[in-house]
Amino acid sequence: MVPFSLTTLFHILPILILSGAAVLLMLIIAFFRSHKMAFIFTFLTMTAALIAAYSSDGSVQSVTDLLRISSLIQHYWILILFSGLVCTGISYPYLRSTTRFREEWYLLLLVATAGGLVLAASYHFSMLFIGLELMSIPLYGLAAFALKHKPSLEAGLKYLVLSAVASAFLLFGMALIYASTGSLSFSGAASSSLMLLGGGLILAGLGFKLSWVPFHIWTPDVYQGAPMPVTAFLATASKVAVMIAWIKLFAIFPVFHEQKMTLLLTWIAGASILLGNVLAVQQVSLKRLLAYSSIAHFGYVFIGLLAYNHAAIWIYLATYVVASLTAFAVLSSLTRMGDDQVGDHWVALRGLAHRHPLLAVALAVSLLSMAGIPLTAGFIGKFFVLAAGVNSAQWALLTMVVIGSAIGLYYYLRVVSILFQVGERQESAAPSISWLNYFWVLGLAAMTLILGVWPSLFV
Amino acid sequence: MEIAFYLAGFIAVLSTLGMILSRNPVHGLLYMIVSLLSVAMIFFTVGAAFAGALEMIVYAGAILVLFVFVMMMLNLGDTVMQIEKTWLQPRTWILPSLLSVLLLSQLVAVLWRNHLPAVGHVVSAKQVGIALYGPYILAVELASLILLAALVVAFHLGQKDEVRESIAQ
Repeated sequence: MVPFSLTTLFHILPILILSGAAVLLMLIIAFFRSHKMAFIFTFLTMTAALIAAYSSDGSVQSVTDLLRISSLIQHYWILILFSGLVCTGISYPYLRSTTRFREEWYLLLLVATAGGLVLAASYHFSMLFIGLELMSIPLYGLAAFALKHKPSLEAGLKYLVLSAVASAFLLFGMALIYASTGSLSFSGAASSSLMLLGGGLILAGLGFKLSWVPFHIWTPDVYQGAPMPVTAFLATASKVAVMIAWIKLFAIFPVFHEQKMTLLLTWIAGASILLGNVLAVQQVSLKRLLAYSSIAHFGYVFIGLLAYNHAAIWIYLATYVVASLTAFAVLSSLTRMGDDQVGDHWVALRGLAHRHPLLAVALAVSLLSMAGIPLTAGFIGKFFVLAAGVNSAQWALLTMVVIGSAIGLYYYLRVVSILFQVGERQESAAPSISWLNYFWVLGLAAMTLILGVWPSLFV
Repeated sequence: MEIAFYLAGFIAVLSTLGMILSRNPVHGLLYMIVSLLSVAMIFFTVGAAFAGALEMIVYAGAILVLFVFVMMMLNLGDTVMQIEKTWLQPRTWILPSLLSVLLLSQLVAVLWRNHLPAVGHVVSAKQVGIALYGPYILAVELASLILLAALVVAFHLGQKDEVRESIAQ
């Protein structure tokens, strides 16, 4: 038996804080329902967990056989917790018009974030699976949270059914790897044909959550139907957590470096970049556009992965998360629970610059960052990924990136131009925007710019 | 023993197909119980007696019987009883029962001869418990958190008036 003491638990303090807070919040809800209190409690918990993750020393630590912490994991923990914090922050104004059962929302967000942390730190297949489910199950509920609202229910159901299929693939892959190595721990066992099959199935299972191209069909519908802060969580924290799990598997198992597998991965990356960008062009709703562009973004990340350049992946993901959160924070300020369907349509966004100049500027900054324009964070991310690709001579994929970025530039700039067009005046229903929304939107937009001009802050 | 393994595997595949193909939910559930029982049988044949017993008690015994109960309880009233009668005709039982009897005879034969196979090694309930509350304690705790989340989601989705409204729309 593994020596197991309380001091080792200290290394997973963020997970403990979040899970403890989830249980505590459940008890609070049972006795006393208050939206404001649930929000403040969750917000403080996320902040505490973020501080705990930030202040750990980043040395390699094993917590039982199941989890392993390192400075790489710590970086991703901070990213996941930051996304969770922002999603909590934009939830409060978003939920102000709903009347019932708002408190559970925060409980589910806490559990989902804890699941993301577990997934990131997992060093054992059982923990990989538990972390994935711990993150996904609250997200099914959150995606379907607006029960009166058909698209939201549809999003929840689609995500549930397709995730279950993906989990089955993942489990089957794990079983095959277990059959060939006899261990569920992440150990770099030599590859065999059985391992290759298992690795392929695991790739399909995780690729679903990352919406790489053959597994991407669910993304736009779920993004569009889910409530705005949930979409933000799906696009950032959820994807980052699965990505780091995949990065670990890729680094540890030699089976993923076999020629057949590398060829498959290159195809997936190229197809994701191309198809994500091409399909994004036809969209008329910003949420769907962001869904397709996220498919392309996770194709770009692949170049860093195939170049074994962890710094490039980390920087790209960090810039992607900040830019995405900015966009979703703006969209969530403009909508409330139940009316997302129109809030992100071009018609609603036309002339935003004249109604809410600050929000329009922030949205423009985030879109420019995603397009990779210099002076924004996205440029730095794309620069590192391209440099990694050039160093490892992946010319085919780099060509894809160039084509994809050109298409991306077109549709991102088109949205920016829509924002600054003169729209018909909408006298009615200009919802007041709370200071909390302005805080997040402006803070995140400022962050996008600061990271763009001073990237050494996070390298 | 190899014959027992392949037979159980064959029944598992067959009954799972039956579960997917049957239009009536109750029939499907009956097939699914058989499928789980045959998977339990596979566990027995490879020496994982404890896993096999758990599969029977937890999945076939508890969860699916609960499913069947819920399925039955949702359809109260005379007309529905009539429908149920047409659903659950005696001949519905023939194939699931036949497959179950086959499995049972297999199990009895295995226990009768009392030689557990050489494949793998036998894991006792005590060892499983020690492992769960030793190195795997974090997995157990986090699994309980999954249940909490699932409970909260189920509670939220099960709100009465909101669901009725959305159906009415």
